[in-house]
Amino acid sequence: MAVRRVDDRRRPRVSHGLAVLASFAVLSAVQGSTVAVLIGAAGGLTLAAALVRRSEPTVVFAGATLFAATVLAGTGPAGPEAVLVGAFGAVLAADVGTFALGIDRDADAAVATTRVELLHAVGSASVATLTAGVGYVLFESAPTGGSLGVVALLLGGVVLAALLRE
Amino acid sequence: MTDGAALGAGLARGEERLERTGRWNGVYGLALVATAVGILVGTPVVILAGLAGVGFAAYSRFTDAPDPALAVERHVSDTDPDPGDTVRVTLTVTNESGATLPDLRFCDDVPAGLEVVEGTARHTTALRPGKRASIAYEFEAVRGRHEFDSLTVVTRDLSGASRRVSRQATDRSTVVCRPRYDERSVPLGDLATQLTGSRPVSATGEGLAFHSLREYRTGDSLASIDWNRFAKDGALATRRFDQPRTVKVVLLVDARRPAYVTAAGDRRPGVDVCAHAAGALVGGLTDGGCHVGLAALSPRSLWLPPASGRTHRERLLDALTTDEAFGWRPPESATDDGFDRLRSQLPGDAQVVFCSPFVDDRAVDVARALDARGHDVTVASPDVTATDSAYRRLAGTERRLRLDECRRTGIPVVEWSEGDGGGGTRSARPSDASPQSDRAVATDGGGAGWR
Repeated sequence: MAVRRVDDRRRPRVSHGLAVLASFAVLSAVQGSTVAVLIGAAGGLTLAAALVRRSEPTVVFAGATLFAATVLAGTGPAGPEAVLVGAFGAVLAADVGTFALGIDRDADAAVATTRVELLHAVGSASVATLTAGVGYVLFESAPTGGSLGVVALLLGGVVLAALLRE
Repeated sequence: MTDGAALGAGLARGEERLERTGRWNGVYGLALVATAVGILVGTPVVILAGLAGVGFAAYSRFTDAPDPALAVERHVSDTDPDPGDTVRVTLTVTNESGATLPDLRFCDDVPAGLEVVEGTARHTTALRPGKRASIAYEFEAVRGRHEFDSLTVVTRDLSGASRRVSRQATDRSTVVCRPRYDERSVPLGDLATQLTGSRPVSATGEGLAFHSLREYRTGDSLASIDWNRFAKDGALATRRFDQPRTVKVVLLVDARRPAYVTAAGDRRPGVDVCAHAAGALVGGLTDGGCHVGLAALSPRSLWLPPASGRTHRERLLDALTTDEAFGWRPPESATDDGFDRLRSQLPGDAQVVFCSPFVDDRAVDVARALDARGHDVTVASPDVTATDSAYRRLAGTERRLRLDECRRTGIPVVEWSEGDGGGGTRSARPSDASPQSDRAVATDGGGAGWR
């Protein structure tokens, strides 16, 4: 098939903005820890650079860095709300960022893709909200000292179920 | 995800496959890392971070990419364009699957050889049931019969974890672009049939134009004796006359996979240039009274035995325009060239005009084998090399050496150039090889050059 080469002109897309927005959410969530903020800032900058350079592996790496910053903040002063926002924000940043790059590769600059991007972002955000909400309720409703076991049990069960389905 | 057209390249029309994109691979790791850190540090709140991994891991397994039921309408503005004309294609896809397609990417399967010059042949969108999406693009018409009959479709689930790639069959739209071939000829050899015709060859017999005198032999017709000479010196001599004969010429077009070589820039394969050369020779040789046939040196068989007449001429030109052997997609096999089959088809009294870009040694072997078999062979070789890199200059030098090898064997070589209005010039010496043409088509010898 002889299709003209992909137009290399860049077009700012909704997903680019949403990915950067998610990284800001992570930064705001981990602001209680200076080291976490520094790591998070590095992750955010890496994400922005990866979006500009259109590197999907680097976007994933940036998401992992943001997640690491959240975990680090969680070992310090961060509360459950901040940890949930940071963790889900990191995954959303990587998810939406890689989706944006996929769209960049598959669609010409002239094609409006806002609808499909928003649909994907809303789907991911809904999952994030639902999961974080359930986790938060379980965490808060469990008796003091027992929350660790409850959440760990929940995690183990879901991961096991998923692995068994493979 | 990679380009939709590339994803569908390995699929036959009507086939589909469902596959994982690997997009969420490793997301479990987040849950494990967070849980491990939380337990090690003794901070329960850290474990909450692992929920992100768990949630999205489950999300990625929630559903598969939807199976799209699409209605496709394609409209082509001109099905019989001239070369260089711009043809507009409008494609409308309607979602008839009864469910929303959250991520639909489709790409019209533009036939090989056609280049999109305006608009885009692909689209990405989300489509609700009953809704439609349209694209429009324009391509520049080139020689050939081009079939639009499929559409590459990629759907993904909302998470992007799985994708369904299919090549959907669509109604067939056929575009046939018939070029106007020049009428040119090349110098031919003396091989002719025993049939009287209109082509002057070295044969003598009954005719009108005086050829020569020879000593009288018993049985010569009295009418052929040169009585003036007999009256002058008493010796009997027989007059001989030129006898036009019927000449059969088979145009052999090099359509092997190597002959599709081309270079970035013009992107016109050598086979197309050779097909145009053969088209020009059809007109020139039939006007010159030859019986002309056509064959393809290709795994894709094409054989039209030599004949004459307007209908046959049209058949030859139609084959050069539309036959798959000269299509824009190279044959699968890089080794088979159908030469054995061709040798059994070629009449023993046929001359061969071999149209080849001579981009490899096999072309020399073929020309020499035909020559050794007794055919008068003439090489008409368009120059598809370029000089914009050392590698391409080397390819040009190699081609000239191959042509020189043919000349040394006694095979006449015509350096074919398009648009000079002449019939090409037969070069008598190796140094007569004409300089490379200005056309930007070039051999690059690499897969990237295939169209």
